[in-house]
Amino acid sequence: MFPKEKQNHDSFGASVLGRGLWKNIFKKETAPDEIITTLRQVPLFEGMTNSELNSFSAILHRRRFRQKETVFRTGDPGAGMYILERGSVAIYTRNVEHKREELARLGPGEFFGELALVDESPRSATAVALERSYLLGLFSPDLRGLIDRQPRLGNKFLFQLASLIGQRLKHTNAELQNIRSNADPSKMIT
Amino acid sequence: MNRSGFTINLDQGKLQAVLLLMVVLLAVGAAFILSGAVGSVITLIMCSFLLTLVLQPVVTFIEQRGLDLLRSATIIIVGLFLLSLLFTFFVSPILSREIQELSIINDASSGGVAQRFQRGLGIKIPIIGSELIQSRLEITVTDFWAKSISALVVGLSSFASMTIIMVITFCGIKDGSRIRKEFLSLVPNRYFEMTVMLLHKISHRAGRYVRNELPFALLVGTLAVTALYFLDVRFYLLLGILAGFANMIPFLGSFTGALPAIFVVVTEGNWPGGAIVVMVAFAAIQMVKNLLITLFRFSRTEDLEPLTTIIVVLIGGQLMGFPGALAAAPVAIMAKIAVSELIGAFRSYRIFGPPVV
Repeated sequence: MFPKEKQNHDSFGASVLGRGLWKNIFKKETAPDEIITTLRQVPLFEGMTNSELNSFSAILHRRRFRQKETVFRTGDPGAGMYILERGSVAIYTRNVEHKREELARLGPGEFFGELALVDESPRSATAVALERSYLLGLFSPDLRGLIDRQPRLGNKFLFQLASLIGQRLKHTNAELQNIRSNADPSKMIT
Repeated sequence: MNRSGFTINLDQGKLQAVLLLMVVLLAVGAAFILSGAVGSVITLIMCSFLLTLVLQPVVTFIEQRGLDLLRSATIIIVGLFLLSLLFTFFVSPILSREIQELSIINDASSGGVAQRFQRGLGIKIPIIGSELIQSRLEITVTDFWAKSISALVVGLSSFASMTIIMVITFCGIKDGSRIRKEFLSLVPNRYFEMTVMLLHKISHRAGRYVRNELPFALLVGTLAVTALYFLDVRFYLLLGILAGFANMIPFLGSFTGALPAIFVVVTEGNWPGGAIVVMVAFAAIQMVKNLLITLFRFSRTEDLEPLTTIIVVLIGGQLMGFPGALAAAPVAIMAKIAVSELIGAFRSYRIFGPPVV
């Protein structure tokens, strides 16, 4: 009926300063398990230890978005990236005919907006939550603070980010090559 | 205005300006009320806040060496505690004695501030002869002095106050980012990214201002204490420390730092010789400081225009005496950044505009 009391090995603290005061001042912040589980799915955090993931978790902001709520809009100053913990998000842009065009639909464990971590140029697309979603926000000021405090961990993350951006660039180049090779030269604008 | 109805279409920029002005006026009004009610508590919190800003790079430096935040903050606070013990045992008794003796200058039975000043000068200053001017001068100087002395007594000469400041600073260093994160969790999604960037810029600029000014304040304070000691000026320690802190006030600092020392010298009857020597000493200290600034500082933070700075410093001094004047510039910088970033962010994020997609 009642949960068993946890055995407290900190007898010195308990006897001298009181259990509550000692634990409150000197407690270590640990991330909820679901955040660690989500981060493990993200390639940017591949190969990181629990301690390193805890460091990132401390600077992540957990946000809840309603269905059809905008995460960010095209033209907004870029502040950081988002990782989907739960729910789904669609990325839209406007095509040359000013019609809304869906670029991607993202699910749990996926991320978007990562370029904003390295520059503050305006967002190039709009992100909208398709259902009630929980996102983890990682913003450039917090990342820079982490890089200052833990340079090794910060560099590890930046290398993985650079590698990911490089992969996407290669993929985009391959797609462009494909489009060009399949395109009707008479319809190409030069 | 639409004559067919009662719709008033305000220009977006003007609406934003009106809203921001209302927020600023409310904040100033609240500050006036709070400064009277909980002035000493605000002083302690302000000292802790400034100390946290100053110590943040030290914490980062220690964390870079591999220690976690808790241990880094503990090391710094233990160091500060030892310094405060030294201060309490060696400096605080002298400071407390000087503060007590100095407060006697404000004693009405001694003839009032203005009259003592006149007697010290040895000449009759016509405008001070007027009873109305005399009483206003008496009230203004006594009020400013009382607030400053009260704040100094609370902040510097009490071991309990220093302990409170250290505890708040420890919590600020250890939990500052968590408190900020919890505050941000309350911000609606629409304003969230804007608020993140705003808070970052405010703390970055305010911290940079305080860290840039503090080394020179320490230098000026040390030189002032030394100079006043060798010139055999009474209350040399208190006046030197005041001069050091006053140096952190932009534009007016070098002038206001010398004023208390000159005032004390004149009221002690050492006019004109003593006062002139003190003025020359402070001028020499400022020359040394400016020389070092030219040598070591390659860029200044010019976040506030001179006129704005003078006005906010006067407001700060009126609210909370010397500590208010000291904190006025960093607070004004933060307010200026907040206002300019909010206006920019409202435009960039199109808060009042139609959504793009």
